[in-house]
Amino acid sequence: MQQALAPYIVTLWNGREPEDAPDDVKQLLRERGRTRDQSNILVFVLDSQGKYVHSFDAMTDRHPAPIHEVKKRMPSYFVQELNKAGKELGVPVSTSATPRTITPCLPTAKDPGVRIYVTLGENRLNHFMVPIVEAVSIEEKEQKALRYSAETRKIDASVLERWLAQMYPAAVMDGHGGMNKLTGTLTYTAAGENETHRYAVLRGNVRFELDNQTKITYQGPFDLVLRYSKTSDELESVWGTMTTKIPRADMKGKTVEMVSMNVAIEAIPKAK
Amino acid sequence: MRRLALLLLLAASRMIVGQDATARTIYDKALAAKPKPDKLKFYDLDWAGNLTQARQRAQEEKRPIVLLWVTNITAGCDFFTGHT
Repeated sequence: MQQALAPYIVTLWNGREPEDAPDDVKQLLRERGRTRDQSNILVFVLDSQGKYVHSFDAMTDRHPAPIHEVKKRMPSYFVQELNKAGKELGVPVSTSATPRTITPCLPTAKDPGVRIYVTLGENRLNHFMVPIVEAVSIEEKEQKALRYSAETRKIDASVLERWLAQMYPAAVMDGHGGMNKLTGTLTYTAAGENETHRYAVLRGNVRFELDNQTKITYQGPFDLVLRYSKTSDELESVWGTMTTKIPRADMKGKTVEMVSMNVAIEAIPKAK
Repeated sequence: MRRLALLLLLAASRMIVGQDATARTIYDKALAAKPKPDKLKFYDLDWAGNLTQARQRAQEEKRPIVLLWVTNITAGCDFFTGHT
């Protein structure tokens, strides 16, 4: 699929209702025309002038196959439909991708920040195939709390709420992407030095409660290693992890499996 | 060969996070938890932030556009980060 998309500039619109879309996206939907069996994932192909050329429903051949069969067929169907449009546009059917990795960044590349990678483990419905990647800035509040100190101290997890709030799975259908509660006490300890830097670790257990209807809760160890120069107490770089298991419920709300969630945190290198 | 690779890895993590064993362990775990590049290929697509930006670039670069349109009654999904 990635290879088939390589010649294109890819963009997206997502929302709760089609009516939420901006006018330019609504216009494309009008040009396509709504069909009775339309699923919630549509793909539009536009030419270099931005004009509508082709569209298809990512799950159009879903009937009467069960959903797991549809999911298996989706990639080949996607490529087949994209190639149809490609022929009309004169786009090469197959081309090797030229990666332009723009893994989510901060609005201003000069801001200090962390990138948070959330990877979910195997699960019954084969969800979460692509890791989640979020970029979060390091603001004054976090900088202040994470300043170097040789003294051991306790830090409330809520200080790092903006980072921790990203540590949840995708597809929480009855949620709004937020947390009801984030609790825990972290221990900050100096962790030696070498010729060029000083280090500290920040460790503790964090408990999360999501804002969805069933208030999914989970907890796990959160560990950071923090790096400082020898001349400044300001945080220079950071790496860390959080590991847990997330309860997954069936349609009746009964927990049917626990899915592992591994989080990696790393500082985003500052642009020069 | 494997032993040499392990020694090099240990030397590298000592350079980056110092001599403290706990700091080294956390650093190594963070590196191991970071998804490998082949899992992040979705982010290698040539993304534009929205349709307006995509149209502007398409004209300049003479390239076509693919727009992914997704609705979810209970929660939206941002394909760019993978989160709601």
